[in-house]
Amino acid sequence: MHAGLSLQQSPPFSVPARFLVSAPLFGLLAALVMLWHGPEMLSNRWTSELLAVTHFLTLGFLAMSMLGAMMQLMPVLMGMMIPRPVFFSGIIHAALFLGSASLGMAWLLHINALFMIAMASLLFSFSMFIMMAAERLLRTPSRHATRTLMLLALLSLAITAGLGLYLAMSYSDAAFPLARQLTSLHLSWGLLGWVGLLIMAVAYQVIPMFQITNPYPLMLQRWLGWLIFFALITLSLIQIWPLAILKTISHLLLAICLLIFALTTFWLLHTRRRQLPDLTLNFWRLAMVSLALTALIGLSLSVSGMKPPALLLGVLIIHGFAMTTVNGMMYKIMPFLIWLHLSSRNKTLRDNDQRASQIKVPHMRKIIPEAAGLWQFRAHLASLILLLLTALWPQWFFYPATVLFVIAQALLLFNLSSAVRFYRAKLAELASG
Amino acid sequence: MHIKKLMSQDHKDCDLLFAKAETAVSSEDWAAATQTFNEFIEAMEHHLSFEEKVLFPAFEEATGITMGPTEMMRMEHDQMRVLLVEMRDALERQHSDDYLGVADTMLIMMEQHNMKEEQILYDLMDQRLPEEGHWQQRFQEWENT
Repeated sequence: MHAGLSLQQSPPFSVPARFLVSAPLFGLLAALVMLWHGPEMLSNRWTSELLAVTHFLTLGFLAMSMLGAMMQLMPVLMGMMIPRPVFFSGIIHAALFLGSASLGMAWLLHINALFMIAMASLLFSFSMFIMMAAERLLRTPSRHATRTLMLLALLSLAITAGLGLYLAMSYSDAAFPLARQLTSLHLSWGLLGWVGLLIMAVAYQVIPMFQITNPYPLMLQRWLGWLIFFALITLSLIQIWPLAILKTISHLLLAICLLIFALTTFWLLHTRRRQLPDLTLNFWRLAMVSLALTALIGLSLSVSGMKPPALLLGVLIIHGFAMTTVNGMMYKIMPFLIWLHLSSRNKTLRDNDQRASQIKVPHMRKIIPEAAGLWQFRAHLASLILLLLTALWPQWFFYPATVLFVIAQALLLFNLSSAVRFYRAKLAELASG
Repeated sequence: MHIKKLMSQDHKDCDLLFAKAETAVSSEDWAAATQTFNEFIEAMEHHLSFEEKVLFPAFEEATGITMGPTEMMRMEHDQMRVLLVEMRDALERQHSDDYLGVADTMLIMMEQHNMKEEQILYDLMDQRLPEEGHWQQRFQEWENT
């Protein structure tokens, strides 16, 4: 029965760690590119610098950390581990890293050949990951709403990547027509489908558990994700069958679903039983405020029919909602995994009667101190506020926003890599013990 | 009552005691902290030992799988017990920072463990163990010896 079911604790540490540490590298790269190019890069939404920065963030930071987190969470939530995790996560990571870097560089340096490298590596990385993860999810005995949502998120990732590939063709080959009208679809599937549904899938599990709250209402768990997916399908059909009313309804539906999710999460956090201040809580709250604002702007746009403020919405959803959520989760995942792997080694030593070689495993707050995380949160929050102001008045706020963005990403990189160094030092201590 | 419902509810009861003890420690109300911590540890031990001595063996006997999921769950129980000892130690030293740091680790350890049980293992148990096993009654009457 249930072939392949493993309630194993965790894949080896290197599997998620390489993804999690790479993410702020790309965040930092994006921030530095902004600093280098100055506010002219925001003159319109199609400048190559802005496209490069956006993709460093969505692929290099978001997809990178989300793939890593999924490889870590699937064994825990679904009892399913990807096969040969070190090997496969290694090549998926390498291809994603290469693809994200070369896509951004292709725009920044205007080298068309780099688009080809980017397309090939990203296609390889995503199709490999999607096939493996989907196969595992289809076979898990778990029937939690998270499973369906993760599958829908993977399907959305496939659609986003497909549309992206099509769009990138026009950059790499002048003979290929530029299909800009597909851009908004690429964005919607990527940010609301892939990122949004995956964050929901994870939130349904981790918010009630780690903040000790009531569960999300069952109706909501079961239907909200499907409604979002359905609205995205309708939006896509409009490309073939343009009907203004259908477009308005889909936008309304999306905005309402996101608003319901944000408000429910906020309510659950507000009524949580765990009363201690907690760093991750700050991140969740900020992410939900950003999501609610996105939804409210979306709602007023679909009612008024005004032109969307693309830059403002982009900052809100990419930086404010998605990066904030991931950033907060990193502060739980990273120190916990280090603790887990070190304490498992101690356990093995105990079982083999080598108690003397055990080492003292420090608790999570000694691995990444709360204060270090809190300062990074403040820098992140300040950079978000200033970036939003930059979207409205670029000339005034661009440089302060960018400098803070650099600081926030550098601090995140420092916090995560210090944790990894700490882990390595402890391993060395064990080996010499 | 189904095993899943019974044991998942008990997870939640343990969570609430955990949160109460944590709140008491953070406000350095050591008398209340000690009392709730003792309730928490008692509830935990009741839960863990019932699984180890009643539910897991019954499941292993029904399925013939001994080195599978139940073995992993036992290992995680041991890891949690190590943390419980560290929490007690911090409590006795009245060191709130240490207690809260270990408690943070404990919460994730405990919850990721609960997820595996609630979403996979208990379902398998409900499929494989007889419904008329009087699990609720046995759980309530269970005394760890």
